[in-house]
Amino acid sequence: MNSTFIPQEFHYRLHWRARTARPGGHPTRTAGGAADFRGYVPFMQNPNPRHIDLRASLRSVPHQLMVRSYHERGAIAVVAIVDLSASMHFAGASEKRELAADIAASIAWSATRGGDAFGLIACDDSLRGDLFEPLSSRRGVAAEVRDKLMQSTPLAKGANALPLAASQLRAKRSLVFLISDFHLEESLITQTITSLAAHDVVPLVLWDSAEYEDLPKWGWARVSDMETGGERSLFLRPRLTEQIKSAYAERRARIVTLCKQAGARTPFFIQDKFNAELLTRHLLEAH
Amino acid sequence: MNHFLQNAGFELPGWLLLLPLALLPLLLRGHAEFPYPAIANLPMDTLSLWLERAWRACGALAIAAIVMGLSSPFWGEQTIERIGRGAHIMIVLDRSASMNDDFANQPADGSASKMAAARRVLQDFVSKSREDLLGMVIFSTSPILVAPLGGDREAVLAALSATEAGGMGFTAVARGLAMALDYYENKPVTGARAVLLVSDGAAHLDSKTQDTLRVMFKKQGASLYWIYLRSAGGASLKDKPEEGQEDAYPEYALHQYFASLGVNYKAYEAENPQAVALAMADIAQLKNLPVRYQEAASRHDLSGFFYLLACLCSCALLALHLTEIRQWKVPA
Repeated sequence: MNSTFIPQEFHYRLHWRARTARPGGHPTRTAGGAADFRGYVPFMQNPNPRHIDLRASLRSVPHQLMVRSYHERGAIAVVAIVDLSASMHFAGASEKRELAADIAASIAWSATRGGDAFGLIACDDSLRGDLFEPLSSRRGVAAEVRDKLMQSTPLAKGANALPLAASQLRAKRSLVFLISDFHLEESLITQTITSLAAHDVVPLVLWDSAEYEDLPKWGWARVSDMETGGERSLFLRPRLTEQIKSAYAERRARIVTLCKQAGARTPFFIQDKFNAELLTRHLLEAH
Repeated sequence: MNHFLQNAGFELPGWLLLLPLALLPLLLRGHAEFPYPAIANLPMDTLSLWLERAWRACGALAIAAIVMGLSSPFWGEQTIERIGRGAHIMIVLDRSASMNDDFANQPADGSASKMAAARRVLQDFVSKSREDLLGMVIFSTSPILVAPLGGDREAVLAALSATEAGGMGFTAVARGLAMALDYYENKPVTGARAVLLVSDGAAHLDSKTQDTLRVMFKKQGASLYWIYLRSAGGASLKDKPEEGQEDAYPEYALHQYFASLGVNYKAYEAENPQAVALAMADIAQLKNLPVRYQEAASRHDLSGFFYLLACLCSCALLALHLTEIRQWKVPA
């Protein structure tokens, strides 16, 4: 387990205005600053002589002195919620837990670089207090978070505490990255995202190519479910591998539908390797 | 099916105690498995499902078949109805001294003892009867077994040749017959049973011996043919002796006793070698009555079948094992 931390920075953009007093890079509802034009207001509402607009003053009826008002730019809280159920310990083309740790660290890195606070909540069947990272803007938080996740020991099978993660968040709208493989029951997915309705949720779906794409071509294999312990016999052959692929394509579409229905952003699917550039593109494009 | 089960059984049923071992493949989960994040996403595949079931069934069947094989099951010991064609003939030959005498009617071309005539005819008879089982007992004072009932004609012929040495002693008819009948004991009735008594005289049988012989004849179901070589001056079987003179004619008493046995009995009174030959020809006709009898077919050992089944199951298991994937991740 190589724990050298190579930070990958991605950029994110909000399509909502944050309520924050902390200076930062995101649009807020707070009046002030000189970046986001908000509108014209009477001088007495914003008595800043540097923003007096003569044209707006002349346009006003009855005439009064108008000034340009702006929205402040502020910092937000960025939280990574990590699913640590047994299935997240799958190792195929890559180790899912390592991938999750990398992504969490990358989020922490990107957030703190942008002046935002970062916090980590890990869940299995209970909230993992030992892995909890309160909101902070410390510089070293990314590496710390990565080490924490890499050194965590699996304690439970499921991910039933995911809906409880919302209780660990502050009431103000935050940007929440939900890192999971989404091999969960549909009701749990919906419940989790619904519980985070106050926040801007970006589901990050971790899938491994060994799960459904790079399957052995021929042969008989028995697989056991990492969470439920159930068994399945698979006589792999081209027809079955096609079926598995199409089942995963369906599952993918289903996850997208569920997330969007529950009010989250379009999920971002990560296979084997985390590419921050692609995530940036996804976050800047999709809503 | 019922008939089949009635005739089936196990040689070593103790091994069957191991039969519950066959449940192991159905219950145990010791095989290699690949961890998979969520099997709920995998499509249900009928072929794979049945392959798994077949794998378990093969394992169970292989163990069950080996246990069955070890317990040596058999099927059979059934009885088959057959129709016997040959006869089982015990020749009971008198070798008393009187056999050396001539016949009553002297032949023109020289002397021929009764023994010589009987020998010649019997040798001829033995050589011709290919389908029959033959045995021979000779008796004088006491009976001597010459050849037990079987296919060994050489022994019988040799015994007949040996009678050239000449006879001696008395006539123990009853003991000779009893010994002959003893050789039918515990033999399957695959043909008509006939006791061929060749003698020239008789002896008085006491009532106890009579009863014993009667029981033995009944039990063995043997026919009796008596070739009575009448001596010169000997009494005929047909002539009833005068009142009070019965003891002087034991032949007649014996004839009466044989007739009362309740089995197939026929007496031939031969006064010359030609008559003996005729009597033998007659007997050769009579003895070939077909006989229905039940024969126990040898049982079939089924363990080979079970071992074959176990072998086939093991082969199937091996084949399945060979198709198993060793490595889930395809090396890049």
